[in-house]
Amino acid sequence: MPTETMRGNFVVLRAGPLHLILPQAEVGAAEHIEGGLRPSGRPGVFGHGEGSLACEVVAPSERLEALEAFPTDRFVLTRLGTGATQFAWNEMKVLLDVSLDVRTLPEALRGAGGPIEGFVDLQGTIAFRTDAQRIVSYMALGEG
Amino acid sequence: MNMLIEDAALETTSVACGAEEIHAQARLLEYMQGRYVAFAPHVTVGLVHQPQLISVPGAPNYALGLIPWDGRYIPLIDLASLLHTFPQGEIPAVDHVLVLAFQRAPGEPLEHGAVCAPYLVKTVEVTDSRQRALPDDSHLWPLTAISCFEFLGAAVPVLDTALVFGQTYL
Repeated sequence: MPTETMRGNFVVLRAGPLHLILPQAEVGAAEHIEGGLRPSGRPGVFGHGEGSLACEVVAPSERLEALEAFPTDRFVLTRLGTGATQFAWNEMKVLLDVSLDVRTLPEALRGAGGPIEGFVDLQGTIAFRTDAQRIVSYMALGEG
Repeated sequence: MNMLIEDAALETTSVACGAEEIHAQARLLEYMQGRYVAFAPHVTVGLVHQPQLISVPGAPNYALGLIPWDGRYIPLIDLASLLHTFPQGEIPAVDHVLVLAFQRAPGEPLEHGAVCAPYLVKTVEVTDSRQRALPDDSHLWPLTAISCFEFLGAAVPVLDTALVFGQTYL
């Protein structure tokens, strides 16, 4: 299976059984959910915070679809790229100054417009390589 | 747990034929109840029981994800979904899977993929006299099958694994 090496600083984000690995520069600082979430009127999108701190929150499923029922174990919030939407994760882990072998996703698994470029094996855990733009576009959040 | 096909096959079925007919063997997979496909024996590598399944965001609905095998990760396809329906919703529970080898072109590296094997895999003998036309219950037969034979009254397409795993069908 073809591989390439990627080096630098990366962030691993976990949504249930799904692990994603993105360049650190594309992931905003981690915040935590404080207080409750409120419906926004849009399926899978929740309101969080008040006043100038108000934002929209999305919890991705293992297939990167916005969950309509917010999981109770998602506490970590990050923005992706330049977008304003916060994404809710189970975990966020930073990998500094690493060199990782990225394996090409098999042809049979590459759907049209799919967000996954490849994957890395992090000591037995598969993390899918992607970037902020791909995630936002794939989840059709309408922001870049 | 990996199993060799030879260990898993419970029977080899012979089709009565004339003395001058050429026999060949094929691995018969009942991929959904009452529906069969076949593979050349040399591309069938083994059976795996309840492999770990890693779902891949954005993969076609019939491509269930990655499974670990022999120190690497290979794609798993549900033939029933590929050939007949593209269901939305929950991923079906995976029991046994059949690991297959494929080669995109002569001289290219050998690659592997897997298909769901909900029923036992059998080895059958096939003769030229049993050739028949592809069935008409899937528009993908002409794109994935290299031949077809009759087995117990059913048309059994012989799939080219490079065509099954070498592209997506959307």
